[in-house]
Amino acid sequence: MERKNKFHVGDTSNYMFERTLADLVRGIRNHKKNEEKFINQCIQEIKMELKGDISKKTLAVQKLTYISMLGYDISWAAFNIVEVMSATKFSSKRVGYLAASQSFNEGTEVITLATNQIRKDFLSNQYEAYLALNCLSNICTPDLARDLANDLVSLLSTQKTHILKRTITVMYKIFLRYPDSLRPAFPKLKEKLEDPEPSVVSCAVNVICELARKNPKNYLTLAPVLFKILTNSTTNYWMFIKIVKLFGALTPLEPRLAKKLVDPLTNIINTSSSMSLLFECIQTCIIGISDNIPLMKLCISKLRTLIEHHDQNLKYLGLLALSNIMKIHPKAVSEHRELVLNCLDDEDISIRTRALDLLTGMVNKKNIHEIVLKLLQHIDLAEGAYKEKILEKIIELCSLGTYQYITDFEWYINVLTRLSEIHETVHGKLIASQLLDVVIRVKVVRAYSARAMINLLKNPKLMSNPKENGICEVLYAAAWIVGEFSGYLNQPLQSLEAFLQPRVSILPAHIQSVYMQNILKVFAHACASANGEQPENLDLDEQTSPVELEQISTETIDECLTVLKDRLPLFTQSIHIDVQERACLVNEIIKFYSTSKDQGTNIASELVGLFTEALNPVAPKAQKKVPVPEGLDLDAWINDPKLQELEESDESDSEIFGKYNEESDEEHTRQPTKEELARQKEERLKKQANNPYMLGNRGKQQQQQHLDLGDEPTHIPVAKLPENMGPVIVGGRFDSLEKKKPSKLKKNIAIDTTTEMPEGAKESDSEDERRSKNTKSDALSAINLDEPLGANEVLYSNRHRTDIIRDREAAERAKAAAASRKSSPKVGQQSPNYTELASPEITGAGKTKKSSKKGEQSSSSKKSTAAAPAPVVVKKPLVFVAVSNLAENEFFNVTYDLRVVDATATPDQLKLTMKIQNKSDEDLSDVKLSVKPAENTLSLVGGEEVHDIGIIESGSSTTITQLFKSENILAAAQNPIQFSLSATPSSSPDVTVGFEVATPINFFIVGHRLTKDKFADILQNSGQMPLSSVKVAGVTSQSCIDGLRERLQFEVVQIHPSGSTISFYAKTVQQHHIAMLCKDRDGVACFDVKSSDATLSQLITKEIKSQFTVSN
Amino acid sequence: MVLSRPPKLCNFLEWKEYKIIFKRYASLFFVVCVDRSDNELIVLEIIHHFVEILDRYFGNVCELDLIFNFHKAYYILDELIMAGELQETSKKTVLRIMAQQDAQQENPSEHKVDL
Repeated sequence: MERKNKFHVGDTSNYMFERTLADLVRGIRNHKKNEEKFINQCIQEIKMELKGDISKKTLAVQKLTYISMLGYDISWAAFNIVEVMSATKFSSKRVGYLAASQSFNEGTEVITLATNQIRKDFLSNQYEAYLALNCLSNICTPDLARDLANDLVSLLSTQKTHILKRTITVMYKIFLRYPDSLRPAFPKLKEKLEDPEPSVVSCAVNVICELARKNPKNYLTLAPVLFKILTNSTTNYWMFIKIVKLFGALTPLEPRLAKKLVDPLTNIINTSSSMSLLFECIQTCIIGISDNIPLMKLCISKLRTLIEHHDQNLKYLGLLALSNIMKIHPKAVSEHRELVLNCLDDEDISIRTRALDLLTGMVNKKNIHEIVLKLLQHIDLAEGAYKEKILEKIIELCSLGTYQYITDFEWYINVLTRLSEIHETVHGKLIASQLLDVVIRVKVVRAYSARAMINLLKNPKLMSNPKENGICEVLYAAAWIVGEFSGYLNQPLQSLEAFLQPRVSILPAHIQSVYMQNILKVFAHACASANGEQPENLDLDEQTSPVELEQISTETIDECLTVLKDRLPLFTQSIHIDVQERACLVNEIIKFYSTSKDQGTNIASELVGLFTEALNPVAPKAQKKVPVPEGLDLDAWINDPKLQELEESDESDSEIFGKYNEESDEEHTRQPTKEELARQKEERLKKQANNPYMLGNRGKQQQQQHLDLGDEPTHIPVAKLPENMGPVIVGGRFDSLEKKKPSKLKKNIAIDTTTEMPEGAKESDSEDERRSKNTKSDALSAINLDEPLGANEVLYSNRHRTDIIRDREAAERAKAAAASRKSSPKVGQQSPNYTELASPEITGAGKTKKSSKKGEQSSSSKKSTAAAPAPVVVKKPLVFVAVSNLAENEFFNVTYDLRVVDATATPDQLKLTMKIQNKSDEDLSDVKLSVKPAENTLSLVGGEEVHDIGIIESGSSTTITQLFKSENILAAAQNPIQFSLSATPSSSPDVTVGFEVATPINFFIVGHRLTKDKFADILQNSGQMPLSSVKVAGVTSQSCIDGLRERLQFEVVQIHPSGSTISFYAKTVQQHHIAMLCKDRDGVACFDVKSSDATLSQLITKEIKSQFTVSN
Repeated sequence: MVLSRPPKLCNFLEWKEYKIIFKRYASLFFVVCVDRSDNELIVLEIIHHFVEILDRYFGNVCELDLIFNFHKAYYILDELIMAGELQETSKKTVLRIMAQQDAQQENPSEHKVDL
């Protein structure tokens, strides 16, 4: 501090009017009341200072940084910051970079000006490089990332550890902002995992861990390296945590990895003293190894100690992890019920919330009463959001599995009534819907709840301070229940008085409406009962005691009438239109009732008849699931929109000005006859044809069609809906349900868990599936690192203009050469590097289908276990071409050419060019070529399965190209692509030819040059590899090397000094490893092929055999 | 949100799609916002690590140190954490690099005084 002040004193003596940073800070602290004014004043001063020399600017920028930290905008000074960043002095530069880190963002335009400065500083002394790297990690924009990616990748080769570490870390930011850089830069990043310096490895692990969260699949291949780090290094537990986390992302994809991890993780969990590492291990176990029961038990017991720990943080995390386990093993957690219930008493709200979450997994029939009771106690003490949460939880627990844990529904109604005494809640609607749901589903509880509800209706507290969604919503349910089940209640007078309390008029409109509606229900039931009629929808054989259902005396009815007449007028004048309407309706019906009663007729039964429809729960998706009746096309226009348009324009043309005035109204409304319609139509069409503004004029054929259809839309297919779509009564289900109930229960309770679905509804929940597909994915996670690098995937770099021009010229030259080459090979004549396929596969393909299936299975299980492929050099591969005559008959001559599209960028794509020649004297019309690869072998890229060629004139030919992408190469190598060509000759009957094109295994092999160590590694790590051998006579080692390289792309790994033993390596486009040993024994070459798949090995030996026997 | 929490409660909060993890040292609050999937305990440890370094650098750090030398605090943080990742775990290394950089900064200014 002292030193600093001295420095500033020196400064101020030079520039009298400047504040130092310390002055500024002090000033701000002294102007607490009018801070903004003071700062604005300072900013004005700073603006002046920014015009001064660099040391002045530096100070100004430093002060601005402080001001920006307080939340003021300093983006206007961005340019000055860049200036200070570019200063030569380290002290200024440091200030400038800090200011940039703090204030620059995506929208800062001058950031591009800094690009070059940053690049220069990377290579400057190490301190400046630190600054630049640190700053870049903060301000990286997509532009900066693109421009600097190349520099950073070359910086990855630096020997200076500190710079290297920072570079690695900043690469993560680059990947985030410029995902295209990931693929080219990744190999170098991967190398750093094996750096001798542990802190460098740590940085690389950090970055890969972050990347793996986006798309773990890409990083599975790193598992062996990471595993080695996990088991070998012991020092750095910061990194340990990251690796364990990384494995957490990988294990769900590779179950074998999970098995391997069990031991080390168990070890760490048992021995580690670090809680954070312990916790991370447990999290990883939960994510990836949750099916290992002993390990899960260990985790749970460790979590128990965490939860019992006095440290609140550990307690919180313990509960959090436990709830994660609960999602997988609901049962395992329930034994710790006591522990969790204790946490409900914790003073920390976050801990209580977590404990609350866990309750879901712990309730059962026996303890639900106890748990809910406890929650009810808590709810009285709780406040705010936590209170709401408890309420939600109580309802969630009770309604679990459509009330599967509830044995006593009267108790539940009581609980709900209790809950409706909570005033400040926003869950009024939730409680209301629960009440309705329970009462509708559980018939036995109806009488009880009707009685409970009438008490609610009378409770003045519910009506105080009514709010939309507030607790008053409960009244909505209560009113409905009382009205609907008034037959159980037989207290019409009480109910009506409750309904017509004057304060009801302050409730929200929709609740009042329900009140009005239910007044009528209650009254109707009362009248019916007074008449001695039994309401139909009452299940009287159940619990309700007959005493309660005594007949209502006519006096009661009269009293009811008085109450209604006295109090209804308040509602008939309601300001809510709906309420008013219903009140008036009730009023009128009552009047009608009393007059008709005076006249001696009783309409009670008619009144009840209004409300006797039974109620059943309807599934929320029922509407969507109504099957579309056959013949109804919802997408078809009911009226052709074009036609309507025409009619409209027509009217405006003629009728308004002409006919309308002349013709009488009578004439206008009469139906035009058919001929007239036709005539009008014709006139209109003529008019249309001449009208240049008419778009729909598509030739006569179509017009004729319109004409036939007539004007009136009588032709629209209207399907009749099935008549039995109405409510389905599910009462019949009860017998079976009741039998299942345990005998211990006093009452048989039937819960109607069914929901109505329209007949023929589809079972699938397709809408949910559709939703899950729409998950968003960002660019970084879409990148696949397993694909080899393409030639076009290079990092953007700044180059001199002349270089670029030179390159472009070269590329054009190459293209031209390629074009001329392409045109030269004529069908039938083969240039020497084309391989003719004497293909035994073409004929024998059908037989091998069975084995191909086996191949699929084993290949999918093996694929991902492969060891980390070493940095491979993709050798310039040969372009495989097969030109061959395919089919010939009297009309056609078909030849084809099959090749790998681009061996570096898209090695798994094949391009087929097929030439079809008409060699007959007749013209062929309607020529169609259908392309069908066998299932799960190849898929079409672009183009359709049927190529509609049209006409091929006599003697001419046409060429079709089609791209294929390989799905399963093993199957593809065994099953040829099926073609079928059909045509109609001008004077002969139709012809159809079928033929096949084989895609032998060599199309799917990519050359990889490996060092012998990596080769040994692969052999060792892949475990047992199926072996297949073949012997060919008369092959020399040199011809063997050449032949294999040329035809199968195999690369030599090692040649034994004697020259008699050679090892080869290659891999398929789907990353199967292929290793081969070739031994020369007295002129007979023996090839041992080992690959990750038995079928693959056999295919290759077969291929080798055919290649060499043909060439010899 | 953080300031209003009474002491003796746990140090984690859930906020939007992130987690807030904080720790209080005397009158100073250190607040970190991380992804949901991050490990809370390690963040607490990083905070502690940072505080220890601050403490060594300033010699028993207090609020005023940080207010008047906010830039220093930022420099230290930059040394420790880059792109959201812990970059340097060794306290000694951080302090050494800081000292070197400060020396770098000093030299030119001393020259200036001499002139």
